[in-house]
Amino acid sequence: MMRASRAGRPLQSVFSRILTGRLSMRRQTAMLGLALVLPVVLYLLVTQAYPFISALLTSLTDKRIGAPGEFIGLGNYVDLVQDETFLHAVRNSILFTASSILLKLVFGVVMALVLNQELRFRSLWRALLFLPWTIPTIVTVLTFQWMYSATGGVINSVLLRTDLLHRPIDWLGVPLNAMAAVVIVNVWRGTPFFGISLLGALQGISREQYEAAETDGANVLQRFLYVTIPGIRDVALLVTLVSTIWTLNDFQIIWVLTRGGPADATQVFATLTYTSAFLNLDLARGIAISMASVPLLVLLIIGTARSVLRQEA
Amino acid sequence: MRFFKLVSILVLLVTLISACGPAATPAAPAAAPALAQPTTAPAPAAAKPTDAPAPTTAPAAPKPTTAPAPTTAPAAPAAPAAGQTTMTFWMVKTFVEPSNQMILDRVKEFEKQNNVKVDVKLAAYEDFRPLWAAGIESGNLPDVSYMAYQEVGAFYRQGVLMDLSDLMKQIQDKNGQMTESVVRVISFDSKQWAVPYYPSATILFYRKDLFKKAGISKAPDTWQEFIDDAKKLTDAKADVYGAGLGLGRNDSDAEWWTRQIMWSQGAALFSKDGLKATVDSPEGIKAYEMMKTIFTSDITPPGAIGWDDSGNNKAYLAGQAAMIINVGSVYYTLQSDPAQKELFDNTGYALVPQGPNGRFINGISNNLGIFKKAKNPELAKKLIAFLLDKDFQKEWMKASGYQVIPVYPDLAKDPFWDSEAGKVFTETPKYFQYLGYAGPFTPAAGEVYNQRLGDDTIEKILVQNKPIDAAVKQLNVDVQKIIDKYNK
Amino acid sequence: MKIRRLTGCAVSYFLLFVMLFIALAPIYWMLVTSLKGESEIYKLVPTLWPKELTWEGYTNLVGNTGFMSWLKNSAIVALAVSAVSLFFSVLAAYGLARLRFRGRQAIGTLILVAYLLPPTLLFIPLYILITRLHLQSSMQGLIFAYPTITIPYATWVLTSYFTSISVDFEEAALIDGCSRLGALRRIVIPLSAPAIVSTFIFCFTLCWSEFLFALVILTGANSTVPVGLAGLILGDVARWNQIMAGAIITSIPVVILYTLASRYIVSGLTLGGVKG
Repeated sequence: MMRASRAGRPLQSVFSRILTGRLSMRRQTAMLGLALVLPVVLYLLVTQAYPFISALLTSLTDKRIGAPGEFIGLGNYVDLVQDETFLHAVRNSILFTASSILLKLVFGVVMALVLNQELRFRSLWRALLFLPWTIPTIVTVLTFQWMYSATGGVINSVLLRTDLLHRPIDWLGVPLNAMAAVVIVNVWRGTPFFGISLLGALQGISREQYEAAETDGANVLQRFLYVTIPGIRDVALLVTLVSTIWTLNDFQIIWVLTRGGPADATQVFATLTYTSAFLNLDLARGIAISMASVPLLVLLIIGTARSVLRQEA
Repeated sequence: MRFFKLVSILVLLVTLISACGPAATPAAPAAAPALAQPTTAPAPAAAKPTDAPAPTTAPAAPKPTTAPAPTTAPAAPAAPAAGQTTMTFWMVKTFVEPSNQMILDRVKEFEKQNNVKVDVKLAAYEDFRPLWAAGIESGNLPDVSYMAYQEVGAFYRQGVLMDLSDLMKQIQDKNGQMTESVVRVISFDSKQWAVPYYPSATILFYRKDLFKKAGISKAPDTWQEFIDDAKKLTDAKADVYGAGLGLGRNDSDAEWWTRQIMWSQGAALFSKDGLKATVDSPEGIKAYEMMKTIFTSDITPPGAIGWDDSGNNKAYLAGQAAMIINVGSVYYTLQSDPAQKELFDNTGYALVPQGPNGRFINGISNNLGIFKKAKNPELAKKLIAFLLDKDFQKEWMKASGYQVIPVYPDLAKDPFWDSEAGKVFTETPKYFQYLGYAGPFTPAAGEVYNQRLGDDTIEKILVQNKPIDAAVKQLNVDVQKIIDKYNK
Repeated sequence: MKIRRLTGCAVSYFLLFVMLFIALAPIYWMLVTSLKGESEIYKLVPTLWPKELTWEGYTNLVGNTGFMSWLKNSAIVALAVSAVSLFFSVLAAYGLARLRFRGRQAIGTLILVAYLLPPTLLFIPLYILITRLHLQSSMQGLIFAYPTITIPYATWVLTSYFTSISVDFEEAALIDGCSRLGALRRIVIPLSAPAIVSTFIFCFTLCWSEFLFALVILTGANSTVPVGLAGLILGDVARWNQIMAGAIITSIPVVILYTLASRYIVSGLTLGGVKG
């Protein structure tokens, strides 16, 4: 039975396709696949791969801004491992990123679940909860800095007035507080990213799946675990990964609030890199610092890619 | 396997293309939206992208070894079709808006007189870092660039600056000698590598009414007096604190006043030849003890340890601090805002306190420099000379509200400075010292400042309860490490 | 049943209001600051509502700075970059999610690896590249640079959305004689409309609030909003009411965009006629 497709080419029946045409279908599919990804790949090769490799090679030299560098092998890396400030940065980066991501993920899931309910004025709530993400980062950071301040700062002022505190909290001058302060800003700003993205994933789960589970006798928790979570799994993984990379490389929030202080309590890779490369003009060392986070991230990326792309197309 | 071959071929291709220089035809420049707003809008008109210069000598070549040294690119002025040259001028935003506008107007004058277009980029000091880095690495540099003296020193050492000794001579022959202390700091190897444009100085601002109330007759003259006075002035219940001194890493004021204490007590981070770290001394320990006292006597506003540059301004304007040490930006705010009149009337001015070793004021020296790779060096020199013209300097200084100390010392005698504050500001240049004291400015000194090592030390003492002599010893070790890095 | 539904409802509303409070409190502070006069801003005890409400933050911002042109530039760049990124990312994501080809996983991985280098370091080689293409000091340069931020994210997020859509729909279409690309256009895109729209909006906001590239690539006359607003901070003095006014104004277009987009989307697989 031959049926003509809209393009006029005769389409073979499934049976004959399997016998004769399958290979060429596969090759066609493969070529189409490559063609579809090619623009993106080319662009990224030029704009990311080349700079990445160039940066990596530079980190093996002693290059400073404005002067050529000489090859020194792993000299920068050896130096860093013995540098106390760098080791602080490693610890702080992990602490900052892990706590931020965890909080954002939890709050994001909650946000998505709540917004997926049939509440009144849903669109309005969604738009309002989206707002923190839309304010330019620099303004957000400065606003929080002011709110944290003990001089005219609204957080301390309100807490003092309602007698919840007796002395103002020194948000930025005490190491633990400073780390909390920067995490709070990052989480405030970044939760909508998780929330709205996960909402999109939730909306892709059809109601029928829930109804089917309910008729099968699943309770709320079981429906959550066996319908909701698998449905948002891929998106959640992705969003977490992307946000992890962004958070690990986050510069503005910490730089403007504390610049890595007090006493290196909030020094992370991004701030240390900036100081090295742009203030001290030591470009090679700055790159080496950033490269420190790469191996771990590559592992995460490979794991995620494999997981999301696991199914056969 | 085939995939990887494909990828590696692509990567090679890309690297070859990039290494071989510009192949793409220049894209039509986006006409900058014409600015209807007349005043503080930063740049005059349409930005024409100038030709990318010296394609092969870009220092950021991925090849690890050689790469040619950045020699002077032949200054081919970019000439767009209209036959008019376009120059680029990077200038820092001062804290006083009218003075920024005046510079723009002056540049417009220059454009008219020389039939050129000047593309002005006004940016905050901190934002210049990535700009300079990207500019130097890509070879796409402005013709005239603002530089603080730290950059002059650092860039000089990288060999990217043009020797401006002749220009200095020409300017000084025409307008008179500039103040010695500001010329000194940008001189290396007996040559001048930038032209001083405006120094700033910190002075002591204090509340005359609070002083009266506390029974103090005059501003403190020594640091010990400062501490004693601060104690008398502090009234925690009224949320008033005597010492409005901050310590955050973003508080560059902190780097200044801590050094003022250090140097006035006879301590110094660097030796006279700049090769040894010398802070681990009895004087150094005494200086840090003094700093610790300031922050452990409850005489500083809460949260001062985490202040940024605006922390002390805010504290003073809110009436929370009785004394602060700041540049003239506070004066400008007080004077120009009618709602601050009462505070303005109650403000007194004095030189920063001294110590047994004398009085030290950190010279904040702002200069104009020319990179070797500038495309229009001759025009650049002209522009600098035009901006350093004494008559313009007089007008500009008046528009800048005491934030600017004139580079020509006789301008300091102008009646403009005939006020309580003015008299104090004009006295400051003779006390100027710079990073690198007790030696000249070195990149090591710049790095110590960038890393906030001095600040860090007092923070560790306060926040981690580190004993002072251990902390100072550690500071010495760290500073020495940095010195050695630059001198190996 | 009803009680359960009621408590479920109550819990949702409670959580909603807690989240709204946390999200909006700082923004309220920004709003209030934008309506204050300069000296009231500096008061030691902050006022939660301006004692003297003034619009000078807004009027000064719009009148004395290049704010409107910053808005225009930001909008142009963000729209252009988002559109282009989405277009190519949808194609690439479909290829990664649905089509089998050699090196699929490797390419997918490499796209994300692109993100590893932080912008603070990436921008120097990128800027050199832009200079060589004569795109410096122009909006085109910015439009060229921004997809480095948006494309890896967009490609991958869309890939993950696409893989979570059941293949049944497309298979049905393919059997009916549709080509792969037709299936993409007619089935996958409509089904993942919510995802595509939210990805578009996130790309938009990524460009909208980006600072570093805009600072370096554009000249003084051409600024985007973040660079322009940051320029209102002059060391230790700043025009706070103007800056906050700028922040408030800046967030409005995005919120409107999002509200319109989310109303337009039909959520869920309700296109009907697919099952059975």
